[in-house]
Amino acid sequence: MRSLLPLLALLSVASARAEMVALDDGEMSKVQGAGFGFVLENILLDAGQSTITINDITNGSGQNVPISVKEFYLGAAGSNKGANLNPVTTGRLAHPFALNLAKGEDLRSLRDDGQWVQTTPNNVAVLELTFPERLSTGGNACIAGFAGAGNNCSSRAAEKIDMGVRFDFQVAAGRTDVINIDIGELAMDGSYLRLWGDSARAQMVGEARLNIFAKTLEITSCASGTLNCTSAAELAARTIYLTNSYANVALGYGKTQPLLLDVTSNGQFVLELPNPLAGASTAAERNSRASEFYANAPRTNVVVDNLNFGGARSSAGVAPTGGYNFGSNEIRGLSFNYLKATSHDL
Amino acid sequence: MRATLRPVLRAFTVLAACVLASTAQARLEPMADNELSDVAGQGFINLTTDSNAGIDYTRINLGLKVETQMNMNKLQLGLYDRAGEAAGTSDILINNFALGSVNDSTGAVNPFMINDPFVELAYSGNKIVGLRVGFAESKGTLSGDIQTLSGSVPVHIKGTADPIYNAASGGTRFLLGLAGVYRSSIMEADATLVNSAGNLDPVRATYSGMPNGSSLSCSSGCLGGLTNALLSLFTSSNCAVTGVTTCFPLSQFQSLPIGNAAIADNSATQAIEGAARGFFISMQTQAVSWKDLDSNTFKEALAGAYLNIPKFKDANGNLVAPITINFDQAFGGIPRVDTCFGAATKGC
Repeated sequence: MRSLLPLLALLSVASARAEMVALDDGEMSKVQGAGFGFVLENILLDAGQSTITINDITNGSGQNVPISVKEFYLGAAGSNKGANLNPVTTGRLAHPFALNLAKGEDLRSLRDDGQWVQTTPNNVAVLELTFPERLSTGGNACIAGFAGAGNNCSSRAAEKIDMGVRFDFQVAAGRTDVINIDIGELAMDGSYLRLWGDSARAQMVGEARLNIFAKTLEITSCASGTLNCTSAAELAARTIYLTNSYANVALGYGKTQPLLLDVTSNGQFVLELPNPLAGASTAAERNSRASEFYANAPRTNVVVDNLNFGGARSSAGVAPTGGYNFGSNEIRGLSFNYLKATSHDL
Repeated sequence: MRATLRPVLRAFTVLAACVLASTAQARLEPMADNELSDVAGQGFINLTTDSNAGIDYTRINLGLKVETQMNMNKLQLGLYDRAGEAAGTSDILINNFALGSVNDSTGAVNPFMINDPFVELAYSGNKIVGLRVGFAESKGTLSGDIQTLSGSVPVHIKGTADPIYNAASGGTRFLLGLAGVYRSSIMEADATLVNSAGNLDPVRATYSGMPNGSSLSCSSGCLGGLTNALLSLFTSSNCAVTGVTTCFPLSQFQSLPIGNAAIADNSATQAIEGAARGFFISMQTQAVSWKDLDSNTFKEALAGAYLNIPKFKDANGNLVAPITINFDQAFGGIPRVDTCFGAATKGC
């Protein structure tokens, strides 16, 4: 809602026609950043007839391994893996996607225990792209029928998305690996990307949160209609089923561990989450920073309530029977005290 | 130099720079195909394939060098009913899992190092039967409260016989003396995942120990050449050798070394010196043989979730167990290294 205020302010300017007067510093400091919210209304993407080919990923001998990207779709939930595509409206005026410019001290992030906390530093102007929010109260099920994912998503059932894409990897002569992905009832509430300038480091830094909630995620390893991939049973046997899955991926804690992205002089990239205690000179300061970091820094969780290789669902959204049932799988409460990843040519 | 420039000279320098700049405003020209072909791409991803025993493999390799110190509250894979296993158990369950360690007195981290992580799929025909995530090279400390473990975790126990004497009854001490084993003798044994009865147990194990039928050996400091022959008469049975316990709960091994910490890494090289090759976690619907990155041979992983902590090469190039402990550590466990800043050592 806050994001709409600047828009309303802009509209009101036209009727005011007052002389523009410069703001002094005191007035400037009270101004909330500009921004706007938007809703994706009646979205339907169907690239079923298109193919994009990615080249120059090589094999161990340096030969090209073409990757064909095809059968992409995005539409309303209930599409039956894209077979019955309808447009979807995701986000709404009360809880839109938003592009904001805000002060660091005014932004909040939702902790796993439901508390809103400040994660960005004071006195910085933050450019923020957000998905529809998660809520403290009055939310909807992030995954229908699975309380474990939380009931604090603002997106309602009708705003969730079905999407899918197929990748064909021509890995060797006469051998093509197929990875066909279909996601059912997808929501990404509470995801955000925040960027700001760090004057001490003289570079742009940020923090990101990627939340993915999916009722179903299915990965099929053959192309329908090809050898051993024609009947429903053959397709099912070559499908990996994830049921009631979610991931909260947290990268960066702006106050003491911003996400750093850099490129080296030889073109390689560097991703870093610095030690939150870096620069703390006393034991008291280190302990204080550590306590604050562990209390408030967002954690990464990856939960698959049911993972099944093969088998078949008795009805939509129900964990399959048959095949190999790996049951529940989860990574909980992952955080980094330090991470630095540097790429190099293979 | 710049500070000594007089104003006129300074103005001339600025003017010259402007003139030079104006001549540099060249038009952008498209590159010809042959010029473009000389440009090397940044190939930090590649795909490699293998085939073995009717299974095809595709491995996505990432050219990344990673240094990290991380904690997670829980790592749980494969929580499902499994024949012969206790209800409610998992193939792998490690609480307070961590890689690397911290130093509270300085605020520094001792990172866990990873080179070239990969994701690999195993296909039977066009059916995916296995998935593994691993590291071409890795080195550092892995910590956790291990509840259940499936996979391969070789352990080598080596040290003086003193702790064995301390744990032994009077009769066993007599037999050890008869075999020519002194308190100062260096004894060795191999251990692996077993159950509480000493049987091999690669699925949902809760113990590591000497499997039934294996025996201690003396590598030095014993009396005469008959010692090992005599020791071989006393094999481990039901987690004991003549009354001395030979199986130990996995939960007491709270920090495990991966790779050879005795070999320092050279930050100037891409490789991680002293690294173990082929650490991986996998899930497969049937027994799948994954390629061992050290020997380039295929080694079988049983169905289910599977953790492989590989052997590594010592200074002489011999493959040795990733976990080498002495008998004190075997009997008493390995305490956890500190993985959390502040008062806590784990669970942060």
